[in-house]
Amino acid sequence: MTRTQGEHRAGRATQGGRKHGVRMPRTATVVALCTALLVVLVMIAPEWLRVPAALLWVLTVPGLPWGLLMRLRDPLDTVVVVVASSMAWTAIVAGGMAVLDLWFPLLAVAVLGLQALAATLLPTTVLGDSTRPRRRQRRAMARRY
Amino acid sequence: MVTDPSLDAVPAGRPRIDPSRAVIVGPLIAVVLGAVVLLWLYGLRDADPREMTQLGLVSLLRWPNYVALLLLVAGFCAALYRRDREWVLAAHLLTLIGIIHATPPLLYGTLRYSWAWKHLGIVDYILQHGGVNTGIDFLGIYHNWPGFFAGAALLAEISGPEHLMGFAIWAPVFFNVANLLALRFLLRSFSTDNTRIWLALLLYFITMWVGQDYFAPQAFAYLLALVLLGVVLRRFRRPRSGENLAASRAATAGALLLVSVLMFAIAMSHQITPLTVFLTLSVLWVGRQIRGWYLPVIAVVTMAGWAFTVARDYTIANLSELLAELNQPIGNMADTLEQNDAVSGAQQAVSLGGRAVIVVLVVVAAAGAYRLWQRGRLDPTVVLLAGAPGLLLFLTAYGGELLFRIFLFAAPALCYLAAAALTARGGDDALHTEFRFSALGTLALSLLLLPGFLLAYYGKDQWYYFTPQEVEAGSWIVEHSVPTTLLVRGNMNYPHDFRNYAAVFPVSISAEDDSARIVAQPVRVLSGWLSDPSYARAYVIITRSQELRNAAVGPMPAGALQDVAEALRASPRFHAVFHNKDAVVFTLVGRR
Repeated sequence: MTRTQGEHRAGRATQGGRKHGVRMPRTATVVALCTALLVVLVMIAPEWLRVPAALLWVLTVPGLPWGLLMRLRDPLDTVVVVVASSMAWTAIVAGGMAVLDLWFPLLAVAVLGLQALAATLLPTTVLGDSTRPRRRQRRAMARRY
Repeated sequence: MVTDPSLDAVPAGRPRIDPSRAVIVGPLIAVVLGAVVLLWLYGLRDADPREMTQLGLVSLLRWPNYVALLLLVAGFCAALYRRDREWVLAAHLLTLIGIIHATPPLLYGTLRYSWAWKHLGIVDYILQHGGVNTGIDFLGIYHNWPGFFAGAALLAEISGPEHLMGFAIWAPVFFNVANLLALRFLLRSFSTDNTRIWLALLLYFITMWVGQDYFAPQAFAYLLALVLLGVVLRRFRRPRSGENLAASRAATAGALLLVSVLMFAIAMSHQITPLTVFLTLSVLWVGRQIRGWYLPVIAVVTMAGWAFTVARDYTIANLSELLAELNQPIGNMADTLEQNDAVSGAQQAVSLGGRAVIVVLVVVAAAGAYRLWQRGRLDPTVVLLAGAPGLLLFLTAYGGELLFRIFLFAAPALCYLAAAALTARGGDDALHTEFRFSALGTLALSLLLLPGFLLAYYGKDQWYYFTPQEVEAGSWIVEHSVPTTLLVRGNMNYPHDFRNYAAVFPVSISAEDDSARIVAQPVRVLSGWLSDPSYARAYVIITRSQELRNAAVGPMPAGALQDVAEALRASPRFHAVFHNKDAVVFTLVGRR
């Protein structure tokens, strides 16, 4: 089996079918909980806890669904896509606020969290379910059976 | 579309270690790598960065440091030869990154590179003003491409602004580890041969001396560009005969969205990286290596869109200069070479070391390309990735740094091709002799490249390092600056503009056309400048690192800035308002 077949099958096993409905809400829950936790930590946590939490959040949470969306078989590949897309989203949201003179850090965190939550819905809404056959294929199947 | 990246794939070759040996591999690797780290630290036990010569940090390295590097590279080659698991190879490269890139932060304790200090100043500006000022005169380019700085400012806000300096000091370690993962991601789209991929990674980290891994937008944009290219090659590569074309609409559409996000972040953070990404995607598409005409279109639309909307004032003001550099490949190349020829003494060795590394890598890469071509396994994508950044020569001189940037962007593909010259054909037991030859060849090439790399990467640290006393002087200026403060400095090489920078109007003596006259008559000229009533306050700052940089690369004669400081100290018209053993700040008598 080639890697790509493996990736595709892995994608179907985890993203599609019965498990599809489980994984995305789980990612959304992780994103929501981590974002809420960060907001709390920013306000009340001591320095030794706030710094690693902030760093970890900025490098992982905004890009988490994007990394999973790529459906890469290799976990390190997924990690690097998550980190890069997290950094990209952080730069876009913070840069946009800086250019528009709307600098509200906690709002930026909220926007990044919402963006990530929205991205968890992408496979089932905007992009369509990957395991759902295209219309032409469905017609062909209907003719066959 | 999902493609099989193993175009020139060879049997990846699982480790041939028998189970009884496998048990001892882990502890053995830990002992060897522990010994490497201890030897490295032992070599630097009495190192004092103040004692660096014009060879920079290389002048502080002792025999244990070289033994540590030899042991590390030999261990890596042995692991390649044994076809060890990835974590073993990764442990070696992480140790290499650790000792090379964590040494300056640990040894210096202050932020390396003067440019990194002014980058902190832009983040500080955003934190203070809650935004950027695209029309600002000084350092305006950073305000017009603020993505990286705003992201850093957000991180500083939620973690505490006092930690920003720590993030900046350790940024090279972070970016190099992230680049290791990103390069692995990219290279795995060319081949499934782990030996070749990890050898390419080793070559990358012992040749990449360009120093674009510090707290800077280019380090950020480069990382994103590597990941973007990796995503494109995984999801948009044209299929070849026999490849699996199983389509996944969501994965492809998701990848397209991800590419757009990465491209937008790059376009709002840096100037040359989006141009390089656009050129690379265009060349890959024209060369029929990727499908999707929209990929280069996304790149050019985001790049030009940002440049002509948010950054339009800056872009339009500099348009004539940009257009003058178009289609001037020789002139653009000469700009870099001339800048590096204007050095003397030990710095020529540093410059030659860097150039030698590039030449050796390109020659070995050419040999690797020939070897693959002979076998009919040369992947056109890799060749195009190595060549596409060269098109930048026709577009810009990039302030005399262009050749370094071309090398930076071409390096992943060059290292992959160079690794192909050294890796054995396959994982067959009968090929053990060839593997042994590969390991020895790798060791020899590494030992050839490492001296040049160390010279080029560490060779300017004599003035890239700033003492705590210089930082103290820089902080004094920050605390005593009010809006419209004139600050005269020898050159920009000191901890400058890292806070409250917009209040200061800086003038560098070295950048003035008549710097020789200023050096000849410093009291007369500088008292005239500092007595200008249009400035609320006025200072002259001369530091140790300014003088060291000037002595090494000019443009004034060595010792010129010390002479200026002595003349001001002896003059009754000036008095030192701040001084310590590495820096002095003057102002006019009777002036605040």
